[in-house]
Amino acid sequence: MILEVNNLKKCFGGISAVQNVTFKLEARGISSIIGPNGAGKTTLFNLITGKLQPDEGEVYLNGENISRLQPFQICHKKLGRSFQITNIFPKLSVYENIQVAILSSRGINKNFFNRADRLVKKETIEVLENLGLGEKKDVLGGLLAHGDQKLLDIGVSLASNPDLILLDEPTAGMSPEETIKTTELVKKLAKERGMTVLLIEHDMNVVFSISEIIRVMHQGELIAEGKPEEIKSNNRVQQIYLGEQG
Amino acid sequence: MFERILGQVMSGLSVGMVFFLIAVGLSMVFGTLRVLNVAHASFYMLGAYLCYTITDFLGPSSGMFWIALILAPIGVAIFGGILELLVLRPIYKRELLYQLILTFGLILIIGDIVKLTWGVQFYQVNIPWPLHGTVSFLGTRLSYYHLFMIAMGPIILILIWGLLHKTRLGRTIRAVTYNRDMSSALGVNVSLIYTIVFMFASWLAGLGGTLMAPMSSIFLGMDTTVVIECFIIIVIGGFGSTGGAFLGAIVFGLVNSLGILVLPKQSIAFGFIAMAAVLIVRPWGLMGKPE
Amino acid sequence: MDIGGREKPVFYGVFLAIFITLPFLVGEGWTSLIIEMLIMAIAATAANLMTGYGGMVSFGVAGFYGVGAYITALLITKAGFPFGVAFLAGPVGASIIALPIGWFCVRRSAIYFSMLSLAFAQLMYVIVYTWYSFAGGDDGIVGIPVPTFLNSSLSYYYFTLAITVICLIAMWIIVNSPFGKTIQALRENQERANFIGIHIRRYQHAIFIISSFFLAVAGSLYCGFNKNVFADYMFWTKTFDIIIVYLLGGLYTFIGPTIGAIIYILASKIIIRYTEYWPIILGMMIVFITLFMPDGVAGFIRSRISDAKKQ
Repeated sequence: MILEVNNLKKCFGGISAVQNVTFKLEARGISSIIGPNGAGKTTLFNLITGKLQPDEGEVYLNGENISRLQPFQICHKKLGRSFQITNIFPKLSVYENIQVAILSSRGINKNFFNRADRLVKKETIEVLENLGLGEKKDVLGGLLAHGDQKLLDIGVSLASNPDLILLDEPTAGMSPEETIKTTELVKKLAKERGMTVLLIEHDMNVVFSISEIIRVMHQGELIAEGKPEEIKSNNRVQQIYLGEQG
Repeated sequence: MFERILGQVMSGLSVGMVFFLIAVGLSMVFGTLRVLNVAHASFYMLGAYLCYTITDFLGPSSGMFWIALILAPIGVAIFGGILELLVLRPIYKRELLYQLILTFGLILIIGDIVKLTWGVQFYQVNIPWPLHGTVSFLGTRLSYYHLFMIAMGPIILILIWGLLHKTRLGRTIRAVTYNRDMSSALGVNVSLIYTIVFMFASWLAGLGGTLMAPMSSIFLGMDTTVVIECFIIIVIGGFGSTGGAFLGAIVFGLVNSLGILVLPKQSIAFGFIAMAAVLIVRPWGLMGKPE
Repeated sequence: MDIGGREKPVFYGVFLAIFITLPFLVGEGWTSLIIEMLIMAIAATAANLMTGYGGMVSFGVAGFYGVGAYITALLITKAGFPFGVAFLAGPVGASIIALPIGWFCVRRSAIYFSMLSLAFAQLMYVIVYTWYSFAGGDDGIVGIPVPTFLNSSLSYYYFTLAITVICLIAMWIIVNSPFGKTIQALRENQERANFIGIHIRRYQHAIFIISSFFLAVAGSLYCGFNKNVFADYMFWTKTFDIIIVYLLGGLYTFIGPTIGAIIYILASKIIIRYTEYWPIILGMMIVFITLFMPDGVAGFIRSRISDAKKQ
């Protein structure tokens, strides 16, 4: 069990954004969390990754209680996270974006003396190639097209070689080709690197094509959990979510 | 002892009120236009110099000060308006560092313009009729002019409060302060509001300078004597808060003047200690809002 | 972003050779001028470590510059320490002082950081300005003896040049190291840096201390150069001088502050000879730079070069 979430609760000024959320995530494989806007999905990610502290409940990563840790501490425990709104280093080049993430994960970033460019060169290029951003390595992150920025965002979270990676709407705003590219990347991560991937997604094609387990959130609660076919035929889910989609 | 303390309190409050006039304008400009305009201190200096010129021009009767009190701040406001239109607009969206440095450049420019116009000598303005002299109070003598300055503070505070809360213009200003884009979308001429607020702030600073003129000499370098003090007040009171500027000015004035009784040479340190303490414990100041 | 610029060792070698031969080409007055430029180059580059690289705008940089100068002056005049020891003690002492001050400052961001660093620097100014018996008060400390082998303009020039080269190289290594990249990441996006495992406060504290160290080196150098120290060295107007220098030269390049130092010192000394109205000219320069060349001279040159390359 790589991730265990117990009775998580988070309120903002009287409104509960996340309530009673409990689930277990097995290592390896891809699962998704879906739900209408405002269902609390990103808040859940924030609670797991340390950006927010839960009001109640715990989060366990590989058996270790990480509920009260800060994001930078959780990162070193091999949990990576990408963002819904792209969160990269705009005035650093694509190369440097990845490079600084790798340096940090290796603990080399306290090093004052070596030329940074000479370190982790191979690893950086490898990540860039995986993302398909190799040719753009010297472009400033902020100047990339939206789809490439989202890829870079994912790449930055990948760079620390996490065991568990949380991707928040990785295909949002992407063109169909970019979406396919990203989906292939996610599948590759799970299969070749043995990563556990947890997605938040709105693109149902993506969700249903790659997820082994789908969890559905609504108004802060986890209302359904199961294999894609089960979720598709779940009446309540259809009513609340898929039904709204027409 | 008590007389000394009371004397210091009076002196601290009167200086504090002048600082309030300068600081509140700076705070309003920061709150509404989101610009930290250090050259605000130059407006203060301009007010003092204009006060001298007007009283000098109008003749020796010391009652002429009252005319200067009306005209000088208006003159500064006009100057401020022109400055805002020509120079300040491009930096509204820039980062704090550029705003600070550019407006510091303006301090240098305005300072030399004052030097070119008035020269390097010190000027004096007399305390106006009928505020000469002192009154006896609790065993000590208080200067009428000091009392007048202290009274001006709350009067202006009420004036500003009334303007912001009881007039349509004030409501519009507060709307723009709260959400510029929304106000603009609702048809408010945001640029005009900016200019009005800036001119009002300049008027306040000019008023401060005019009021200060009879209290001490008018000299080059008056601007830099108040810049840092204004920062202290706004930090203590809270950026963007009018009431905060008032409170901060009182705190600053008192801390300084009472500090002289405790550690006469190091009294200027107390302001900075207060500033650092506020930033460490409650950075948004006494009446500011945490962001 | 290649914030370091495309360094060409040959180019800098030639540059250095010029500086080495300069005193023999120009008079003694000019030699003193260049010493001032070099000292300002160190100070501005050091300050820029925090601002251009770290994204932290400190209004207290003059404080540490002055601390270096005062520590050196006091150790020589009050404690009889030899110049070499006093000179090294300046930056070391400043770093020690920067430990608690930096700890408080980095816990605040943006304008609060700037204001707090200003408050601390002004406090240091007040301490020195008013402590007559110990630090000379508003008279400062004058007539500081300097060892005979450094007593001439020429010899102090080479001393300064050597220290400048060492410091610039050291700072260059630091900004291009993994630590330097981490600091730049913090400038760009603190939240993201947090999520890739960077302890924000610790790194900001570290760069604060490093910056203060080198600022103090400049201060100590100036103390030996002028053979006196005054409280003004710590006053906020000195901070603004340093900020103007690195803005003028360009805060997003390594060599920018040095270029700014050369231009600024040169302009101020030359213009002052012809007119007493240097402030208005400086003011106009500042307004021009902030409005039209926010990346400074170096940034301007670099964007022209990259535009030319595209064609």
